[in-house]
Amino acid sequence: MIKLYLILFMLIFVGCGGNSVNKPALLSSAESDVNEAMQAYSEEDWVSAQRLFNRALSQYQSLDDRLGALNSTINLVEVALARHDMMTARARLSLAENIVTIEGLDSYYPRMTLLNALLAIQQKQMTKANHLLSELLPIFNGVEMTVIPSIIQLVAISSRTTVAFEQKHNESLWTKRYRQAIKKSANKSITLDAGLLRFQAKLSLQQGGDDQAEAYLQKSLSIYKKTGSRTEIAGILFELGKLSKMQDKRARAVSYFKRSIIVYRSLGREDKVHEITKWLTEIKAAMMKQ
Amino acid sequence: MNNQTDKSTEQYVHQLSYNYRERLVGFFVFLGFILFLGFIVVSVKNQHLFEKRVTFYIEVNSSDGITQGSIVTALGTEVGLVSSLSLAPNHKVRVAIEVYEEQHRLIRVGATALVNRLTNIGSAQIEIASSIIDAPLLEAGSTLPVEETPSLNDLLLGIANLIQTANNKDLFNKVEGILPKVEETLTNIHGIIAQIATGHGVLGAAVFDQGVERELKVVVRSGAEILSEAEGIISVAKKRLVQLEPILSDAKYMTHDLRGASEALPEMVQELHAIIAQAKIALTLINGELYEIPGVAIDAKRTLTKTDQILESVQELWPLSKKRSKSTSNQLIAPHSSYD
Repeated sequence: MIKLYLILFMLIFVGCGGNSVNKPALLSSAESDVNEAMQAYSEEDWVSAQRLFNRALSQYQSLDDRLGALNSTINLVEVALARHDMMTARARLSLAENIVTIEGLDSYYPRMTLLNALLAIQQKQMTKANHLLSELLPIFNGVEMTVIPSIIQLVAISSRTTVAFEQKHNESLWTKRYRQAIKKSANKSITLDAGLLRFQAKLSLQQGGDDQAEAYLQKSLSIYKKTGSRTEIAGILFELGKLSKMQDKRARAVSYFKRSIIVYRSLGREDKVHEITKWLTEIKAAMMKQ
Repeated sequence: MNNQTDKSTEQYVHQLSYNYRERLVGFFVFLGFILFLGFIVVSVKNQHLFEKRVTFYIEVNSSDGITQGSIVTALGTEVGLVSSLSLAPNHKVRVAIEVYEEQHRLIRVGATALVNRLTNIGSAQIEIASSIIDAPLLEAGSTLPVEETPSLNDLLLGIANLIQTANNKDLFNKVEGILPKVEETLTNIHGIIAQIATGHGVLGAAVFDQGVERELKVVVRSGAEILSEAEGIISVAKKRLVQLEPILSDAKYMTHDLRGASEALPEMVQELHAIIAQAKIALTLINGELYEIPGVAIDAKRTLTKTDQILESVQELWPLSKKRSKSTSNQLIAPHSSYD
């Protein structure tokens, strides 16, 4: 027995003294860049995020780290979509698909499909987006679904709901399905809840429930303010402005539009600033006439 | 009721059961004890505490740098220690050397001891060299023939004596003292020649009569002119002679001094030779030490790297640390629904 303990001690010592596997400096640098880029992405600093992901991609490529390069490329697609830079998103997505196909990384196929669908939505190709999303959606029995949805499926349902609102077809059904999916999902998140509130606000608005719609939007806005998601905050402020205009509350609408412009300007979204300014000019002109 | 009484009266040690943490602590305490024992064993081994020893003797002129416990080496390894010092009948110091029995095989018949006092300042290194390695082992209690190097202090004193000797001979002052005498001698020669030239004086009157005096005067005047010209040359040469002639004239003294100096010359040359040899040894040793420095630095760096690696390994060793390598899945942005 004592001999057995002695051997055990020796093995522990050998284990302690063994050479640990150190990461190459370039790999550590790439991971550090990715971490910084993720931080920049969460802060919606798209320019920094893109620069850092690009640098990480170069480092992964120089090490021929295919998985690292694939992840960086997918991240760059996400950043390009956030910036509404569809050309870059398309190019990066092709690169990512190429790696997935050559390396046979089957687990990445759903993500590729989702990214293609999101790109199609941005390009207003709703039929294509619908077709792509149908590959990811779970089987529904009315509103209920037969499986617990994964995070990809949740996002796919959310995107499909967006398509439904764009196509003005089955909005209520998909909103209910999205609500059921969130309830059933193991991935609870307040941002998913906030997204649902936005869909419910749109639905209420279609059904003439302006006050209910505003209540949903205000609730959603408070959630996004907690998470600090500026893009969503600006979008909801814009929607609240439009709702106020519909309700003929012009001063309030002006306030919402101005607040939305400030947030969009901080994000560098000049297209949105231009769009809201038009709305603002129209209201001011109407106010001048009175 | 009885059962409860039995439980309460039971010795508490019989109720002890060790949880995981206690076992882990016990393991480390036991490990520490094992390490402590290991250190003691290594220490005893290094210090040759319980090893048998064989005694030899050397007789040196001076015990300078040798103390009880001075290390004795052979073939570059430590073979023993100086155990005691005592006075020998022939006005020498008798040094007892204890050689470890295991190293006795390095001390053969015909071995000589070199007491090197220039290796380290203030301490002497005693090195035993066996000329024939196949010779039988030297018997315990033998006295080894010894070669000694002077200490650094002796060498410095020798150099100081040389300078002092040169100073004591006062050669330069003596040369300077001869110069006025030489100048006076030349002045006298000049006066004698002038009197001959004028036909005056004892020598002129005895040699020349009135008849030939005038003719001779002409000749002598010519000779005087020549001599006057020669005087110029001599005066020029005088300056040279001031430097050279006195030394030659004082050859007697010089020869005497040189004879005194030459007597000490072989000794000086021998000492100089010894100084050069020692300087060479010292430089070789210093060079060797300098040569080792990069190696030491590299070894230190390797040791630090190894320590770092061991620490990393220990940090990653459950349950010592909860450190985990980051998952690569964190490197990917989570799926996001449509962007506004």
